[in-house]
Amino acid sequence: MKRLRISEKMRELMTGYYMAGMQAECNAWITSGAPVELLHALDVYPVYPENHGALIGATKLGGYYCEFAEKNGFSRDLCSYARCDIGCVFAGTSPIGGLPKPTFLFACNNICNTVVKWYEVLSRIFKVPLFVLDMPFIRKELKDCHLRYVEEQLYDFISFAERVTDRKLDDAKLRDVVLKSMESVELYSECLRTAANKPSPMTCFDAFVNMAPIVCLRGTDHAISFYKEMKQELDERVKEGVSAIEREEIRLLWDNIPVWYRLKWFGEFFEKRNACLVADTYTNAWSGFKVSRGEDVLSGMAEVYTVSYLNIGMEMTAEIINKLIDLYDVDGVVMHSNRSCKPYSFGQYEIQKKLSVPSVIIEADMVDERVFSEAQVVTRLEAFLEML
Amino acid sequence: MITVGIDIGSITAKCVVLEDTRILGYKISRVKPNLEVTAKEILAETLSFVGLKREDVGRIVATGYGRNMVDFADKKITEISCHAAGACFLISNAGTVIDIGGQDSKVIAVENGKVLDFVMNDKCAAGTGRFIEVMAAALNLRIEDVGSLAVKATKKLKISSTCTVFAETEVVSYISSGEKVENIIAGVCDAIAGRIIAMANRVGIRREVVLTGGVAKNLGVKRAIEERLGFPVIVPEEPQIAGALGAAVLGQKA
Amino acid sequence: MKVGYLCTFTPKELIHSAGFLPYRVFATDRPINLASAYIQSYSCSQARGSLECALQDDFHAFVFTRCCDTLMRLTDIFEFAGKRVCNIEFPTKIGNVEYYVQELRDFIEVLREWGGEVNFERLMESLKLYRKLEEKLKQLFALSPDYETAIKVQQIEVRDAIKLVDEKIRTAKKEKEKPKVLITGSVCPYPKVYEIFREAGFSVKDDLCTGSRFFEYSYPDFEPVDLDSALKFIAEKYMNKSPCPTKHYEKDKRFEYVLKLAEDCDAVVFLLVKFCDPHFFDYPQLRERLEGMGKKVALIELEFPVVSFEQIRTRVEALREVI
Repeated sequence: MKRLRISEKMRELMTGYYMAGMQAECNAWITSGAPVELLHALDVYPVYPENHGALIGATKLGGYYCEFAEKNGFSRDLCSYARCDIGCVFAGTSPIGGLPKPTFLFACNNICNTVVKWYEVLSRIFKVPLFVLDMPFIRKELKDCHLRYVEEQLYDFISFAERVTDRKLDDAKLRDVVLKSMESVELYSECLRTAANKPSPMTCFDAFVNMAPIVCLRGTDHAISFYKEMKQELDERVKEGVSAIEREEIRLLWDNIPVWYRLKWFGEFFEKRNACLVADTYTNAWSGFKVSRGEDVLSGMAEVYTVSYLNIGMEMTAEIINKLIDLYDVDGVVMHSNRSCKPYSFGQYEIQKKLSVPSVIIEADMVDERVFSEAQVVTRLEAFLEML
Repeated sequence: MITVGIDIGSITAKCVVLEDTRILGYKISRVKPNLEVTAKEILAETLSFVGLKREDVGRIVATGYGRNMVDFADKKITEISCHAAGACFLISNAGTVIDIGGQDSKVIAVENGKVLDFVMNDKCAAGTGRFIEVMAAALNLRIEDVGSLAVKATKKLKISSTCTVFAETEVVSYISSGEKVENIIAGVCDAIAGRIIAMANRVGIRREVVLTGGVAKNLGVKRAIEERLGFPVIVPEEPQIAGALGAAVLGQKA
Repeated sequence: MKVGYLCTFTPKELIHSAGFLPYRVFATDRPINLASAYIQSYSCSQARGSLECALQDDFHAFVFTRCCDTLMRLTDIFEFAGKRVCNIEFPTKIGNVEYYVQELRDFIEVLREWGGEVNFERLMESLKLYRKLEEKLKQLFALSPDYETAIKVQQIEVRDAIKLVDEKIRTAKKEKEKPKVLITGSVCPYPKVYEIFREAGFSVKDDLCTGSRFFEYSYPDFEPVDLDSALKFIAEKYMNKSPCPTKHYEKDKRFEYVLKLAEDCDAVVFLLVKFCDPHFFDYPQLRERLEGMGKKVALIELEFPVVSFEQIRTRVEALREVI
């Protein structure tokens, strides 16, 4: 597999991001689907425990840190991002030295209801205030009352954050951040779309490795320059017809959060069999965060964040996946039945039956490597590839 | 062309010698710790049995859990594709292949020998041959007697546990409350059938339904599955060799 | 016609006033077979058991409220399986009444699509009936907790339920003073389990959805005068329900509530269903607080159908011996 040059840049950028966190005067731990633009407008540094969890998974220490939580009574059946994060707090450290103590916590349940419980646990441990941004589940259509409910809470959040940090939200800064956020999301989406080329210049593993900036640095100049550079490198590859893998014979789509501790392994497994995972539904979710639809920033924010990929009904999800299948012209879908992510995994059996191409389900966990059964995964994937 | 299919499972190894569309012979043996040695030995045994030499063989295909250990194989194909090919070779209008092995089970939707979809249970003992082993032991029965005893049942006792360990507890408590052995073992067969049908529903059940794998020989399980489906299922004469046979069949293709 | 529901936050009065029978769906003694084709095995057995019932029994429709990730996705899974469904977005954060009233207005429209008409008079009648049932259940439990009845009434017509509870009150005998255990958790639809506690020598107090959380409400103090104010009444009634781990409250209200309940108890048993995220997240820190109060705490993890009552009995008897 040809490594993208930008991945090295990503490492530098994220190291800088985590170091800046250590120096930040005021920080908030935030969930990946929350409107981070509000934090930037208040100059509050955003900490992403989920990204931290992915990082720990990638270092293959997920099980190790989860054990610290488990020893303190947290069930092994709970989400491994949460167990890992809570475990690091108990352990007092992590592969990057642990996260800075939060000034406050900001949880938005548009990715799952679990984050509310996870952050409640954190708020009791750290004894800091927690703001929950409660989003209704949009099973069929977005209703006006849903939007108003969320919008009201956005105003509530601003009052809450101003009170806790003793700062005032800068309106102009918010608009600026929102524009930057939109620009980075646009650039990021363009990067992902280069995979529609045949052969694809990148695999979804490249996307996973390089998604950290759009998650953690969305709304800053860093994310914009990063994805500009990434786009350039990908465009070059497309121009020269450079393929991400040696021989692209089969094109596939990945569904669900990646198996963080086996990215390289999966990449090599598929490359050996001339299969390229050109796209995935997880990284694609961030291309939906186009924050503003008009003049009213907060109302636009309410809409975009409420209708996020994991907060919509199965009918819409299946539609989106079929669109991706068409856009990227894939021959099949590999679905990761992720023990730790119920909203993402429940419904896969049904979605399988609505897809326009064949699919296979493999069972694993995103961060807890103790749950991974290599023989099982290999057999299923090989059988699937033989089928195509 | 003469092709050989070798299926290295976790407990038994099977080897089939095929000449075009004729099965020349086959052997079943127990797997030894060294999988490559097991494969070499069963190959030698089977060839000697059919009176052929290694040079007579055009292609060797390995399948099963231990397939990647068979270095001398010309090709390695998963047991899913092989069971599908094997079942369809034996029963040409097979629509659903249900393979219940010693340690895993799978349901494969097929059409003209090709795999359309599949689902596997390779994580949990319930729904595999292991389940019957454990229950038979608890009832002091030989595996071979399970089938014939189950069909004598006068009532079907319910085993609710999805877990083999807890199901054993249920069996033990039935024994101590004086329930008849044939009724208990019928309940065990029905429990397996339930798990299997649940898996089968995920890929959709289409006739003809073919049972393969060692457990297919168990009359009690076959009956229980038929009762739940509402129509008969087909068990080929030697269901255990379906995988190896399929490997040999696929070996015939380019 | 049965309209099934899974969570005690469901506005059953509205369902009843539309002419349907609100029927709480629980896992039964049936082994879970059909449901495994629809949802993975790392979902709780209450979800899988309910799906099994839905696939095998006759229901007109199902109502879901967003309590947890599993229930959220279950709505679409039920619909995919061919069932009539509706999801009411009960807010996770307790407070915004106006928002929830709008959800209830929309729910009335859905009930109409299902063939049931709601009007003010019928809704007031249903509200009165359910309030009566709730108060009678409180009465019954104050004498002697009767879980079999509490579970049964969730699946029958409310007028019959009231008659049943009345009868039980007549024959109930006040419990003797015995060591008290607080059972906390979500659902446990097996009366035999509660008997085990009694037989072990405990007097039982509970914080369960198959027990007191079905009938402990704090009613708003105004009288509805029209449909809209009746909906507001319902919204406030359910928002002021005994706190549940699936909702987020100010000032850790859920923990404070359990700690208060545990004050006069000698022991606390967490009777939790395997894979129940909200309860298992609360468990470690809540346990710590309870032990800090000097209570003996035990955890019993359940799966449905319950296979080994003996295992539960051993645990409970062991706890009794420690008191």
